[in-house]
Amino acid sequence: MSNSHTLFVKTSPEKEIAILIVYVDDFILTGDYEEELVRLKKLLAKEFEIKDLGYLKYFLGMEVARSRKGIYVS
Amino acid sequence: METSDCENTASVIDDSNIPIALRKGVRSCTSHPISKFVSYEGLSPTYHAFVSTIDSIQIPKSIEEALKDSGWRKAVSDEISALNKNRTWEISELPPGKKPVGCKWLFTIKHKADGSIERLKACLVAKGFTQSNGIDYQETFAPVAKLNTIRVLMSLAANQDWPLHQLDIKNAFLNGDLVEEVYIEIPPGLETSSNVNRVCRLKKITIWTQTIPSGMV
Repeated sequence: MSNSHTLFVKTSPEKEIAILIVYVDDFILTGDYEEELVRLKKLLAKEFEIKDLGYLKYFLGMEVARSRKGIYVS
Repeated sequence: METSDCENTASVIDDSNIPIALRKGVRSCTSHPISKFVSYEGLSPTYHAFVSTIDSIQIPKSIEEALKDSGWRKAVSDEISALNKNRTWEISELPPGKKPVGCKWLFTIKHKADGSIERLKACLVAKGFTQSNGIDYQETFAPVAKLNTIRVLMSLAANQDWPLHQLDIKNAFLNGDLVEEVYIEIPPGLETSSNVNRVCRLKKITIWTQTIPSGMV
């Protein structure tokens, strides 16, 4: 895990990456290092009372829609 | 030129010393009631329904008002039990020389996207303006990611076809331990004969009006 208060990054030996963004009490998790993402989610759930909102739909008033072609942000 | 300027300003009534509250003129709106100018008539039936649901539950103005309604009473007890569960404070005597921070209840209605009510929310906030920097708190801080960072991340996720997950923490502020010695008054509506003249000593960082990021209430 490296620097900054809001953006945390962890890479695997195979150069897979897990990214965590913090916005006060909201988190976004992304990356292709899937086992780390799962581990991180569990770790956070142990430390705090969290609500898993699943795939990103709304964030900071933005609506996020996903398709195979890309991500649409309103 | 300068002298004439001075004369002009002197002739204007100097109201800079009068307290702000007194300087404000009293406005009366009763001759133009809002119902004459705003109506539901132009709205489509579905939008009419949406607007009236938003307005259907009154937000209580005081804790006394809230405790009369079962829905709001539940919201209040939910907040209290969350505070208790986190061991936010302990009831104690106020040591001499210390001043307790006042607190009040805020009530909000959380709506779903279609306008239906998700839940009623009661939120105990400290009157942060009665705190002083260096005494009641040392620094304020809220981790806020830059919007650009989030944009870059989303673009990355789109291009690399990564999954995007979202989590949120309940009672985010209650998780930090408090270093400073802070006392708050017994929350209004919770006074009992046993806690008369006592205060709550805070153990956890709680929601201060002073540090609350806009949009959290």
